[in-house]
Amino acid sequence: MSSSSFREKRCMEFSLVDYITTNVSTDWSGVTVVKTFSQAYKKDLPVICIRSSSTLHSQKEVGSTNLYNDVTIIIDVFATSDGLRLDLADYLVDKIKVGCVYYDYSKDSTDPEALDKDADGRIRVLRWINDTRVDFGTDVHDYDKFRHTLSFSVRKS
Amino acid sequence: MKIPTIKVTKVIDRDVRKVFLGNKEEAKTRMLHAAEVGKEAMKQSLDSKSKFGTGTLANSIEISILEGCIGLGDISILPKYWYVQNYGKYFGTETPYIPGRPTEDPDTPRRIHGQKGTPFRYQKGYKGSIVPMNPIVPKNYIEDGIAAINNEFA
Repeated sequence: MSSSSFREKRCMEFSLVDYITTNVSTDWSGVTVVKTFSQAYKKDLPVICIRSSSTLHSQKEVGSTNLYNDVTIIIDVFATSDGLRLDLADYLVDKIKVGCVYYDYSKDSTDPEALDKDADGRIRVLRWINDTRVDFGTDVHDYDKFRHTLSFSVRKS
Repeated sequence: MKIPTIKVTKVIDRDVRKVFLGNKEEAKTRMLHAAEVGKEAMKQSLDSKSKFGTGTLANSIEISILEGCIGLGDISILPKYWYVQNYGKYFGTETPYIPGRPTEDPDTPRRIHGQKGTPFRYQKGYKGSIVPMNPIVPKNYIEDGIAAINNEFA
């Protein structure tokens, strides 16, 4: 592996962001997908923020040094209304439940700004952790009025 | 502010029920172990994602074993900000203030406390305050705890 290649956890996050961005831009208009929480507040609503949280490692079999890397993915939906919040959350679950293509990302040697990607398996959802409204009440900033969170564990297969 | 409960039971009860089909004592031991693992994962998550640690919140996470489920965190004990710490929030400039003060560093003159990145400590009723300019980034420690428990029953 060259030093410009990204590792598995980063590739998983990128692949998911890529997958959701492509689908959202086809099926919705005006919805932005970002990768960090702070960025979400700088874009126009509605916004979807996808990021990875913790990673759990477990041995593939007794005595093996090969590991399963289970990454917890958190998706925050910042909507403009309660209906849109529910619609976007349901849409995301529908898209994610079938999994997506895992890409190996690397930096383009000729253009450092661009990324190369090669398909290398699939990302599948192991378990759903949370699918709930984030309720701060109504007397809050516009971005926090209609928020939803989805969380789930994924594994490369 | 409406504070919902931490609903971890719904996520794990299916797996725990499978365990309960066997020996009850063994199931209880396994659940207790899983709960400890979840608690540690939550603490670790809080510590690793906070520059200065969030000892008060991490230390107030309690576990409980109920029939067929594991409870993580008791909201009557947890500090009020457990929800904001988990999900993140932007207070915006319209928020009047958050009472508290920077942690005192004996080597720093009092007049420049807070200028050198010393952590801010919430202190109810304190006359000093800050207006947070940036969003509070979510730590998702509850999700990390649930993921660790799920892993125990995988």
